[in-house]
Amino acid sequence: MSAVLTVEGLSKSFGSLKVTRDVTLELHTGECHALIGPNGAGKTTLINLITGILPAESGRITLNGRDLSDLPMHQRAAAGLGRTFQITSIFPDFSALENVALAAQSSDGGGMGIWRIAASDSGLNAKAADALDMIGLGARKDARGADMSHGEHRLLELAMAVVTNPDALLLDEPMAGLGRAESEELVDTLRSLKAQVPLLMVEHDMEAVFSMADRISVLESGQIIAAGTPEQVRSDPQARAAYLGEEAV
Amino acid sequence: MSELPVPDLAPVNRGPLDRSLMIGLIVLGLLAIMPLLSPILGGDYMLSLVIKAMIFAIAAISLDLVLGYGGMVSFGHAVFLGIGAYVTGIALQEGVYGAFPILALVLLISGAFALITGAISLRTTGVYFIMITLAFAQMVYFSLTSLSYYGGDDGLTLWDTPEVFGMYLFQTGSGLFYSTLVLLALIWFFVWRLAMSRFGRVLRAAKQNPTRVGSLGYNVFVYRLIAYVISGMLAGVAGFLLACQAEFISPSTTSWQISGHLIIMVVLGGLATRNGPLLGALFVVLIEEILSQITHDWRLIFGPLLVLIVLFSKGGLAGLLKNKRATG
Amino acid sequence: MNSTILLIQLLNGVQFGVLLFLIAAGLTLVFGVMGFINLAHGVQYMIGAYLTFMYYSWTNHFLAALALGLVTALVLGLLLEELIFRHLYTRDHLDQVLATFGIILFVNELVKVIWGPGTLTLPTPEILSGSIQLTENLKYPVYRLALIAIGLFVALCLYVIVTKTRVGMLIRAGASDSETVNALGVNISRLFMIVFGFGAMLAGLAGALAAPIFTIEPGMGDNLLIVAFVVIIIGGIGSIRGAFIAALLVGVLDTLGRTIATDAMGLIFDASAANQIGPSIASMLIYLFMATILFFKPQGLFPAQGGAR
Repeated sequence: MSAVLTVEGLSKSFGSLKVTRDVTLELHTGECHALIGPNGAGKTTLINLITGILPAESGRITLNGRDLSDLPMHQRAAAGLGRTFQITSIFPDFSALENVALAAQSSDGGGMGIWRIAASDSGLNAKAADALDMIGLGARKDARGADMSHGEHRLLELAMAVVTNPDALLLDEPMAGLGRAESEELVDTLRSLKAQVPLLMVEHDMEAVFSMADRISVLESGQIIAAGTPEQVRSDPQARAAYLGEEAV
Repeated sequence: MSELPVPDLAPVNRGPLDRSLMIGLIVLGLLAIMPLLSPILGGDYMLSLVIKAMIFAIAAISLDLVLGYGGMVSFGHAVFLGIGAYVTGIALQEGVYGAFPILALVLLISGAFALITGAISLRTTGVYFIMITLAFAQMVYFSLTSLSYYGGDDGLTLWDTPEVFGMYLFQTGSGLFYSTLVLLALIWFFVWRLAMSRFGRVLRAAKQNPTRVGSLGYNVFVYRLIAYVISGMLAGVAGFLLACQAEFISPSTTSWQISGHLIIMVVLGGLATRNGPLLGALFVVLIEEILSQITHDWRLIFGPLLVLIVLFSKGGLAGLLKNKRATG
Repeated sequence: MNSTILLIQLLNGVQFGVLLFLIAAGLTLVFGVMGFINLAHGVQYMIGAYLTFMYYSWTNHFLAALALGLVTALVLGLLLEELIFRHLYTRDHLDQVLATFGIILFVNELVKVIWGPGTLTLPTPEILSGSIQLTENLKYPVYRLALIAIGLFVALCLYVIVTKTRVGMLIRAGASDSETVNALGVNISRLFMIVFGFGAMLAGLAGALAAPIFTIEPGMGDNLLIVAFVVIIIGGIGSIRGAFIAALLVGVLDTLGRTIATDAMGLIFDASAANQIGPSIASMLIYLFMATILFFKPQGLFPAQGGAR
């Protein structure tokens, strides 16, 4: 199995607080790699460092062999690093279709057209509609972002990330705030998605994590304290401590 | 790829978009027959008032590109009116009479000014952006007041108007009227196409959530800067027309009160709507004129009117038009 | 250019800075605590001057006129807050700009209707007229010195209020994070009203004190308002300390700039060119200063965290 995304020796501190310590991990083709750990362990920070919202102090990030470490956020995204946000981050004034079409137009090579009406671009619309269908939102493509439910927003986020055909996809708590039935549906969707694009996923829903992740890394106080298959992690004493501590809360 | 029928894209939007196109065309059509009606409505005076309204409509439409679609509150947009007017006036004074060379200069210089000040201003956001755009406008204002060779504080009367192949198209009267109308129609259509294009979609998205737009792979700064430059250039064209109409240029064109007025026009008309800034500019210029006919102290009425409109209405004139149609 | 003139201009600069501070203090608090852009703040300054003029013509007594003027300015400020501003706190900046712009148009015109479009003057109060000998060849008007003293005194009072009292604590909390203040269960609308009325009164005080020095005319607050905005942006929105330091910097920079710029340009250009360029450079100085500060410190010199929305 080849590594699509590699992170080596990534570190970051806020003042004297070390939030990320020498994190190294790999994301391989076809896998779902889950990142778990107690609140405040630095999971979202790690995602933000990898995608470039936050500048890292040291470390290297490579995507398909290309060094992204010195690129700003938008260039990392253009290089094939997709993501979703923990806090729903869609465009409330746009329809679902336009949300996804906006994402699609970043990677279709059409550049910065200033004359043709974007909403009538049938190629873009078809691509966006496909992504919505695949995620299960096809019927809601004309709904305004602001009028959609929280569960629909989570799915829309995912559709926006998928439509750009990223080489690696970072998901920040995709299940957050979803009901049980919605979560189960999303797990199915993600299972079929990982064949297309490897997923690095931060998630609190342990049932979902252990049912779908191929590998798990446990993050505590900014560093990875355990990593391996779900079985290995389940039996790791350190991971158990952190994980059980989390469950107890 | 897709088996879905493609033509049914955004059917919800189709109706209102076409309606807004119709309303805009009707307004422009009404403007086009004004010169025929002017003998009934008050003659040359009325005509020059409508020209002024159309010039401000061009400035307001260009401001809406950054303010409405881009969400960047520029509080110094009158500076581009001033630059357009001064480039025109100085060119005429220095013996450049051709309208096309002058317009090219106007576009070049207002674009360059927008590029430089925009690149600095766009490092900031929110209220800091408001204030830094204001600061640049104030700097230009004070520079113009000290340009004593070109009239300084008092401004400069222009004795010529630009010519097009020997014709004085921009001389006051129906020539200026129709050239202004044509430019207005072109810019009205262009800005709307731009806002609806792939470029405009990214710009509109960045107004809602710039971080998300960046994480999709777009360089938000570049998009905003391009919008700012285009907006500055178009407002420069309005400045060119203003100099032709007034046959006079003055630093007061760049004052912060004029910038405030442009914002009023856009917001009253309706932000980020196809016809909002057009209607807003016509409304503000005409209402000010009508009120000043009624009383010398018309601001006593216009001021509270503004406050009341802000307190009790949403979405501006375009919003009102839309709502009326929708409910009735 | 001799040192006496320089010293006088320096004092004038400090005096202008003190006036700016009185205006900027209210502006920065209203802005910092409520996230409210009040373009009509310059109007409060003008009202202060006109009211003092009116009461002076009735009472012929400067201090009485000043006191009555301040009370009326406070009442008018509270009235405006009650009628209009409190409905705009939650609106976006654009609505606030628009509504307060409307108030400017209205009040400027109203003043013109009541007192006429011309300029008015207010005599310097008798006890403070005359000049004192500061150094061997430097005389400086007592009134201007008094103005500086009053300004510094108000600044000190404000500093004590903001740093040592409960209201001040709430104001500081509000400027950095208004959610917290809400969470504390404080009656936030009363806090807003106090801050607003107080700010209006300080601007009125600035207008009243400025009246004997500058001329009183419609629109006199408009350009000063823009300068006051420059001050609060440089100082950092919501910061009294920032407003004070920035006001003095801007006051001195502007005043000295006007004296020195032409001479300085004379070193580079010939005299006539210098006479042209000098004044314009001087007028631009404070804006250049602000742009430079923002370039390096986009939040101003003393940012109150998250002060402005």
